[in-house]
Amino acid sequence: MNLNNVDILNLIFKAFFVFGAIIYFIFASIVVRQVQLMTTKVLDMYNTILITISWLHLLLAFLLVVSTLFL
Amino acid sequence: MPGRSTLFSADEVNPKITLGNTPANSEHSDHRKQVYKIIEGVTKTSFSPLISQPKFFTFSDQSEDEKIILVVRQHWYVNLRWVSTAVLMALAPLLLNFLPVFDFVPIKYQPVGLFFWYLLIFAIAFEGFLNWWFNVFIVTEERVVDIDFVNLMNSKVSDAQLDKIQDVSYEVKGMAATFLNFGTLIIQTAGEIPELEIHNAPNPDMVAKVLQTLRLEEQQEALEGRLK
Repeated sequence: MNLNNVDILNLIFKAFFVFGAIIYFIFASIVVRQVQLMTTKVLDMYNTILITISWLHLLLAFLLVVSTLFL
Repeated sequence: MPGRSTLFSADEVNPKITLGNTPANSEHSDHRKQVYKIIEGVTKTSFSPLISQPKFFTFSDQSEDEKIILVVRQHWYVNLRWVSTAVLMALAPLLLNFLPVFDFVPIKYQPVGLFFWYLLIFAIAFEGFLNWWFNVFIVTEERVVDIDFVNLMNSKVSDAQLDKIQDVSYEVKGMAATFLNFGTLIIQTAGEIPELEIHNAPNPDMVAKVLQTLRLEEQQEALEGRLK
């Protein structure tokens, strides 16, 4: 298998993007957990919205991982 | 220290203790009436940095009969940092259209890179908001509770009974703080946690007055209880 310069550059970018997206996904998971923990400490009528936003954020992070994998 | 005022030291305490017929746990004691007068006009809206007697707010170890008098979050001004960062970051890709700094990135990676970028902006804004939202200082009729959301991994909850409060002071430093009336509230206690600091508290003089009045009420209750 011969790799030209363009392929190598593509591989480097892909590795970089996949790694970044996975790190981001881990970060988004921590945010979800932290929001869950904090909403048990401070109970307010808007907590459900914050939990929903954190889950949506995690979903977007997952989409980011998927999109980088299939580039 | 310039800008720092000790409103009520232990030496200045003049509880004006009324003995005799005043009920120890009366909801309408003179001190309590005074507290309600001080917080009169303070909003009950959740998004305000200063909330009086909130209807839909509780905290984890709140007892059933413990009534919240005041909830203090940091002044809105502290949100300016993450708001301005997010706005500048959101505008950056428009600027980069004119500068060919990312031209070396293969074209198929550019939309994903942009998606990543905006997700990052969202994360900064959301984190900033959560940091503001969950950093609360709660004054109940029995104690003060300080809930700190330091960062994603660290949070801290500390509380002190009102009768353990020894000294309440506040300091207002800087132009913005003076202009917008916010500062650091310093509460010294005789409890396990010797000092509670509430940074960027809005209207610190009012919060200090509330704490002092509640402390006097506690002292009066304790004395009446002892006499009985």
